[in-house]
Amino acid sequence: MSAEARPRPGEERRATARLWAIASVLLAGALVSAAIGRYPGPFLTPPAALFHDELARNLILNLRVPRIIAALLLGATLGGAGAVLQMVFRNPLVDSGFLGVSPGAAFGASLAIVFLGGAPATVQGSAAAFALLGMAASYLIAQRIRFGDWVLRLVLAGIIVSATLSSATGAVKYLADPLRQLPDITFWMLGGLWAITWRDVLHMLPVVLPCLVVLYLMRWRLNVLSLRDETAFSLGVAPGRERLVIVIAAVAATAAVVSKAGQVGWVGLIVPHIARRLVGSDARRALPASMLLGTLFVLACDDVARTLLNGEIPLGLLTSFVGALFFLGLVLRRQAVGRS
Amino acid sequence: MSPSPNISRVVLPALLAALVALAGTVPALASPAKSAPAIRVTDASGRTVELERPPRRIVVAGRGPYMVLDLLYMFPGASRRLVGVEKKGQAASDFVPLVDPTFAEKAVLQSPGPEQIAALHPDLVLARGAVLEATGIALGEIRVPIVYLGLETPEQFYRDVANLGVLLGQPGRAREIASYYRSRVARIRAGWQGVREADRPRVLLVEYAERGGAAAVRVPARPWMQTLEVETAGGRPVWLDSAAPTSGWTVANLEQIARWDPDQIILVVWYTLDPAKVLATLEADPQWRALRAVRTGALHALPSDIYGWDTPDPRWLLGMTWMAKTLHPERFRDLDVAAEVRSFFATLYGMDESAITRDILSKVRLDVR
Amino acid sequence: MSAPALAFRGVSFAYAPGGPDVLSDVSLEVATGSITAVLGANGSGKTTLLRLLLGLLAPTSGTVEVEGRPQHGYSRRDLSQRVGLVPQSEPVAFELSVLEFALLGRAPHLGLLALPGAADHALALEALERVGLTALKHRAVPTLSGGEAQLATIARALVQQSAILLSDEPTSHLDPANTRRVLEVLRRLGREGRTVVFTTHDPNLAAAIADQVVLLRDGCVLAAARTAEVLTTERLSATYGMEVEVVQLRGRPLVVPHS
Repeated sequence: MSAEARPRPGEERRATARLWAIASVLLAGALVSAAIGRYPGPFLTPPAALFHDELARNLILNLRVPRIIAALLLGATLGGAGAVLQMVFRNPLVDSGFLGVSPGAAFGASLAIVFLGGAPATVQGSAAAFALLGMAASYLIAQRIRFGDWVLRLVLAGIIVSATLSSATGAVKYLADPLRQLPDITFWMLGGLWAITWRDVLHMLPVVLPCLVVLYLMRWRLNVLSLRDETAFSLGVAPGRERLVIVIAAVAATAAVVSKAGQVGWVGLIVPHIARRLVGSDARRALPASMLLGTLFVLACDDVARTLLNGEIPLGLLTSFVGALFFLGLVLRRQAVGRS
Repeated sequence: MSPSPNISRVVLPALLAALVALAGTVPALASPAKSAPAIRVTDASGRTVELERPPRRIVVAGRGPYMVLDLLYMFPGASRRLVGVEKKGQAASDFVPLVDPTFAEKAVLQSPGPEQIAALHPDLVLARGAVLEATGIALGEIRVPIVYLGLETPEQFYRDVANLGVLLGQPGRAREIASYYRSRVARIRAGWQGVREADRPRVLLVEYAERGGAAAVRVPARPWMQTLEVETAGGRPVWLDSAAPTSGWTVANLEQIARWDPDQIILVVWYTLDPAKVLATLEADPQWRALRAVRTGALHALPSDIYGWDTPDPRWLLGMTWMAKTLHPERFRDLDVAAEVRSFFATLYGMDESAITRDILSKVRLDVR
Repeated sequence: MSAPALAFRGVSFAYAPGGPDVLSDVSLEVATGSITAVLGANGSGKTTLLRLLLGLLAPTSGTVEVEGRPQHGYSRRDLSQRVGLVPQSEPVAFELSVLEFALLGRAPHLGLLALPGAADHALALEALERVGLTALKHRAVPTLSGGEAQLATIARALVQQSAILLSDEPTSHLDPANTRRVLEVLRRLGREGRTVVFTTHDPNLAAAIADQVVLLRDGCVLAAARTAEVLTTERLSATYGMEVEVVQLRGRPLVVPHS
């Protein structure tokens, strides 16, 4: 019955090497991103402009750099949170957009802006609270659904909760005083980084960085947490509590980025799949790979969003488009390989 | 086989620390502000904006850019200063080319972010609105001044006119424009002075559109120009009685309208529809015939030229003028609306008689009841 | 004589407070280094008993003892370093390799944020060697056959380095060849000094490797003694509520249902 070992020995070393390769590409990508845009003309800004063109200098340092950093944080969070949620819920078909997390964050943020004064701490707190509520609701509803396997139930419950929260956000926008500073519903639904300033980055960092660090540190434990409760318990883990900690970290970071960037979908679904293909399913590598790939993905999409046309393309539009195509390819390839 | 390299314990935290340090120090690298400004205005969002000298490269962006352009072009030499316009909603290319033959050469932007606007090297961005929005904040980060024009009420309009006069270095022209408006508004008000509150007609103004084949009838919000036009022209807006849950257009159904039982109904017909046809359809419709105003022939269509006369566009004066004559015909017997239209475009835009007749009045249907 | 590895002292358990007892007044001892089979029909309380041994459930009355001390006196970490679980089936949603899967057994010995080191990897490789899965160490767990998966789970429990191994229905879903493989591993573990407790509904499985058999029916212990003493015709017929016959084959009992 024992077939020959499929991946050759040294696979681990290769996977780690891939991880570093992705990181290098990322660094290069970030630097290049600072040089592309629509000023002074389409696509490339000559680096010399930094020195003699004041507008270019302001543009790069005050708009592009914070925007790039925000894209990095957004990508790392969505990719990392996606990987975490997939493992914790033992469901490769979820991401924060489908579990009520991102829509909850959008609702909480818009609610805070309109009715609670809109101070940054309030907005982020409200976003995090409703993101957690959204996820809790998805989980509880999934447990009560009577038909289908766990994967299906969670996806269905998540869709219900997400749709409810999205329409609630629309209602807040509709009922809100149009003279107030509430971004369009399209911003919340499709996301965008065109309004990011240094202040926004500084608001996000204190929440996102510690949470990402927590996720990174717990990456091996995540493997254990993806086992059944009984088994995890027998391995000395407190499955409920530890899963809660890691999920809260993932959700809090997601809420922080969604409150600034709107909902950007499909990243958390696709990136972990690709990461697992490249470096294996072990979360010790898959989680950092998801963060790095997520960063790369969002950065690339955001560069296109602000550079390709003479206007801004909503970021979520691009990630959905590319994400859906990738997903199609993934699903079709699975069938061709004939895996059960 | 090998565990994660220990180097990641050092390199990754170092990268993170570098990131945080970068976030803290880079803002300081951006250039500091320059010396004392010569021009200062307080715009519709309450902000104070300062310029060193009158702008030479203006970009119009944001919602309803054609309204801002219609105001801007009342100032001579505006065309020379304008370099780019955002294309959004009803196109400015319908009216402004009549006044400015070089308009086609201006840059057209579509949902621009700050970079696309910056590519035009503007020294002033004009936008309609009362709140500093995201794009405005971003433009602030790269030191491009943005001035908001409210336009929504006559009071705001006068402030906007004054601001533009200061910005463009043409305060005299601004005063001319303001006094043109004020005098006519005063004349309208004086015309129905003395009419008792109870005798003033109860007016319903609705936007009539067809969406997906079904008719949609909506009433405007309380603070909007449509409401103010009706009030200034001596009418009583009936839709203010019921509290509108939204501060935008609110759908009204026929039951509601019947309950209001207005004396006069003014339709703002969606610009793709033919007002004469719409009126004919409604007058033949039994549900509408049940309304007293329709039976007594008090159903009107608000005229328009290229743009509507009911919006925050500077044409609101014309809407108000027509309404005054329609609501109080006996008091405004001497008021010649067509002449007012000629005077408007000649004085404010410098158009000549034949151009007005050909391009403006040809589109105005004053007589569609 | 040292304390028994595991002991139940008058343990009763009900899932719902005030509800029917799933186990009533169970007392038994499991000697260190022995192989014990918990034998009973489906629904007799075997799985509950195993969960109580694991510490997943707390008894409604009575005490569970591990290595002579009450179970509740151990921290979860200490307990998991002593008692390991080999569950019946382990659906793994993601494609961990067999080696990575076995490595998970180190969890009780690593802190919350610690990563497995070279020593842990060596242990995992050794465990795979012991169960004969070295050739498959890079294969993805979901692609394994039933028998291989069960061996991988046993390997994980070995990596846990627990002196006591609990196994839930180790071979119920396996074909005869794989059943034998698993049984050989379990037998070897018993000989090496580990305490093995497994539940089963198949008396022949108990007959094959167990030193001691605990007979369970409707939550009560009918017998807890050496295999030969327990596996008699009368006892088994009473347990299963049907006629069986016990014959001797090559020195070990063989249970045959009466047709």
